[in-house]
Amino acid sequence: MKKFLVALLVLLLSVSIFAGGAKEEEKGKSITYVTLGDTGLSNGYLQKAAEAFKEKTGVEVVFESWSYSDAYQKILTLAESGNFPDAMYGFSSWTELFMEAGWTVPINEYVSQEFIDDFSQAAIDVCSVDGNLWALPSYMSVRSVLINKNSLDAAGAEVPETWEEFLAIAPKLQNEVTPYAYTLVAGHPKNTLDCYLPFLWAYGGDVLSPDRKTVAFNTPEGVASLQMYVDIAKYAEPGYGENTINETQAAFTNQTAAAYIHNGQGLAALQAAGEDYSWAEILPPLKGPDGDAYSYGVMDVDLLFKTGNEEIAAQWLEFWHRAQYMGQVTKELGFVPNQKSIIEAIPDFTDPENALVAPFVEFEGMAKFKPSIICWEEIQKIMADHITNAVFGRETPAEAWAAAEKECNEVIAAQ
Amino acid sequence: MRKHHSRGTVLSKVLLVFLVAIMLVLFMFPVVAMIGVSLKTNNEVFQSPVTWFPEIPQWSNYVETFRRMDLLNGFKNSSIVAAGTILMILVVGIPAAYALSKLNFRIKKEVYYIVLLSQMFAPIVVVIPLYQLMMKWNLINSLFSLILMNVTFNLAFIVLLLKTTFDSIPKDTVEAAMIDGCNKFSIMTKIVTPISSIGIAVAVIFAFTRTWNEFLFAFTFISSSSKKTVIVKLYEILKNNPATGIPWELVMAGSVLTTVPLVILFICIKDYITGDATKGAVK
Amino acid sequence: MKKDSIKLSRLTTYLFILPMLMIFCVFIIYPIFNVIYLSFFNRSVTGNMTFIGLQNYVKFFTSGDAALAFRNTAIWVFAGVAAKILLGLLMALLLYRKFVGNRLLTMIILIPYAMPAAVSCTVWRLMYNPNFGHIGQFLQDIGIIDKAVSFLGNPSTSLIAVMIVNIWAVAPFCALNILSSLYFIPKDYYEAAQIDGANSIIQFFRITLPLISRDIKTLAILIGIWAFNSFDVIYMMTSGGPSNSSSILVNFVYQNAFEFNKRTYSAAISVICFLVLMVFAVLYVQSKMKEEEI
Repeated sequence: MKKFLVALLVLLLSVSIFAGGAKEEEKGKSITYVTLGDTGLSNGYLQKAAEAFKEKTGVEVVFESWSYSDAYQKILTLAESGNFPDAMYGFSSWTELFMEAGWTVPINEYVSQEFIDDFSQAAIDVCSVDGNLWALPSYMSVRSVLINKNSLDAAGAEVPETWEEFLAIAPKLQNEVTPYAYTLVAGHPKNTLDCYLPFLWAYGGDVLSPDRKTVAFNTPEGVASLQMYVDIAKYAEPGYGENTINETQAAFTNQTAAAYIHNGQGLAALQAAGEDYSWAEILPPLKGPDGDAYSYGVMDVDLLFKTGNEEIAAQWLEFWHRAQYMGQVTKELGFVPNQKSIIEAIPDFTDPENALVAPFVEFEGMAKFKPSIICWEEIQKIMADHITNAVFGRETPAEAWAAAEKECNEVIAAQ
Repeated sequence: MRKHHSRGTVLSKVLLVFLVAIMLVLFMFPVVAMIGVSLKTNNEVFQSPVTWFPEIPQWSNYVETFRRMDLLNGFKNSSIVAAGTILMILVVGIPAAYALSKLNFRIKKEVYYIVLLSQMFAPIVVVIPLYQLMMKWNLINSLFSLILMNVTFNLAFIVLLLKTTFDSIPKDTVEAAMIDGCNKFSIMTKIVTPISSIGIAVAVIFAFTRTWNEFLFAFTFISSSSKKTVIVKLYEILKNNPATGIPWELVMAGSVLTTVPLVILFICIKDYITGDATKGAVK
Repeated sequence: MKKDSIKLSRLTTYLFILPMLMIFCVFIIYPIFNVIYLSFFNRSVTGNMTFIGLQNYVKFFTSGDAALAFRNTAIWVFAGVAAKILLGLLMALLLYRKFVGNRLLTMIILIPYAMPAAVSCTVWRLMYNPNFGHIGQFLQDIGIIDKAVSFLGNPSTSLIAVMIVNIWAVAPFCALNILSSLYFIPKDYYEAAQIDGANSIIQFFRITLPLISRDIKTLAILIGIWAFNSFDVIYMMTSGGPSNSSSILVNFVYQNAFEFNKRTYSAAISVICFLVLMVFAVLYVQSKMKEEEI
């Protein structure tokens, strides 16, 4: 036994030594940039940009990759000790909290005006608070309805234009090959709202009242939109209580579900894998009863933290946001660009032949974004929980929204 | 040997086989599923009806996972943390367990209470203060911080386990040594520790397993990818898939690779694990 | 001279326990006091702390979360422990019998316990998946369900589904411990009972159970404490959802600290966790003290 013990220890130690000591980070000036889910790293563009940046400025950019779903937890933990990265890939819904907490800096003070002018006005608006740019628009995802043409043909149905029409053909969309008409999320709060908000907006409702002091979804329109969501859920792929948005996407791309709301990412992935995606059709956003329709905008951003390296980190962001670097990532992942220079430099974005991106670029003008308020995570969780309750029949839509309104207003009032 | 099997014993043999079979199925089917999926192609994973095993085993999944997880590096980091934790836990734990078992001192009862109570807390409730502490000491993003955390949250368990082992050493042995002029320290190193090698081995295995499997601190404290442990690397394959959905076959291959060292370890000590040494784990 | 050496000897005794106590003080006791301290404050977004007394506690108990959290925690801990012990006992009794492959079987059932939680949760998530999971397929094959259902995604089954995973992982550990208690029962007890004509069921209730009941009690309290704290399994399986249906108290600690950025409120829930655990702790210490002379 003793021999075994010694052997184990020797083994462990030798593994640790032979595998080579950890590389010492090079001394000299360096900044940290956090990306989410390997974006830009897995296809090498970030590394390329960092090399060029180092050549130009002598500053090394050190990358970290966090997963999308844990990034918020991680940044809050870091915040407790003021141990921020210099810059980070994040979401527009974080902007206001980070600004209020004093963690981030206004980016417009650190980058050139021509760089800011390069962005589309809509993108700048989403990221601005009181005239300052608190986050740099990076990847924009415009979401609309994607539908499986084969299912539509098999059902002999017309292309739906409204949610009512979609609901009417939903039972017919289900067949042997594609057993479910729709796929959505009723579990993880962020994803649940990503799936639900297009309904709310199409029905003329909104999350917050104009003064942002109360929530505004508990209206007849809001309840009707939730009712529609619940009705469509009956034809949805059954994993909706545990799905993440990736899994809904997978359900669509592997043709388990005939329709869903998302961007071009899933199709881009099929394209990259050399698989057929011609069966997928991107529809304009479905309309509500009054003909309202919005595409769903999700703005991913770059944040600049108060670390003492703001100047150089801002330079890095400006360097990274070029067509040959971030523009390529945007193209490959099926996002919609926000910068004129990128759109001009990469013809794919405007090429009508590019079935993946062109339609979404077209829907950009109709995009509506979720609000950025300090207690957004909580509001989102309350809404998602009640949506889930409604989907599972534990509350009627009216009950769900009445309860959610009360809870949300308490949370906002407590701020 | 009995000549006749009565109906009762035959029946009970059948029952035994039946129960053993049920037990095997209940506890092994997730393991079988894991191995089965790890050999499928991505398309096969999503196929309906679900099959347990693929038509053609895709061994290349393991190669791919090995590359994606940068597994050598992960094994290296996990090994450093495990070795450091084991060393430190033995250096700190053996004297403490020895004192609680064989020495008399005034606050013995209180110390024993503290050891028992320190097992009561979920690391999650103290992770932020600990993060701040590590920040202050400039240990964030170092494997040493993980060693410290693993030592802290396994120490009580190990001390109790060792104490039980030491308790079984007769008082006479210790007293005889004392008469021979050994001091407390040399009794511990020269007499008590060698006799208890099996108990210590079991303690080492437990410390190893729990350290290898530790997720929360490894995930929170380490940010640079060259220092991430195997478990965190595995978790990242599961989570970092913005566009393509979860590559389950790779995740499962990674799961197998992560679990294999533990299974080998358990096989090595199988002769000891059902002995009374494990009793210390809860006693 | 002699007095001095005794004093010195006493001091060296403390050297044996000092490193351990230092580790506990710095990494467990200090953080806990830090959490208790924070729980009496409110922290604004900008980081300003204001003393608010017990308001965080009042807020938790008056919110809808408290009832749900306590209900789920009770089910998770008590039903979970009962199942783990019962299953562990059955397995131990089986493994206690001598048969070919006994040792091998003991090894095999340990695999679930040895598997990292991150791994076992991933495997089970895959198996539970309604579209390509093995469990749904199996239940469909034997005709229990007729179409795909989601176990983790349905608020009425999510807690049970996660509990099964936890039971699967911990029951082998219980089996092993009960098994070693069984080995401690002198064989002649059974021989005497056999001569008296007691069958194996009577033997179990008259001899085995009384002799191992104290060990089982200690074991139950320990795995109860582990269950109470087992945040990781739930987080990795369902993140506490959907709609908090599988959240236990520690999940609310996590949720408020790391999702809602309400660290002081989360600290109050942590303290409530400590208090509940104290009940277990006292039971545990009592039962340990009874069996060991200290």
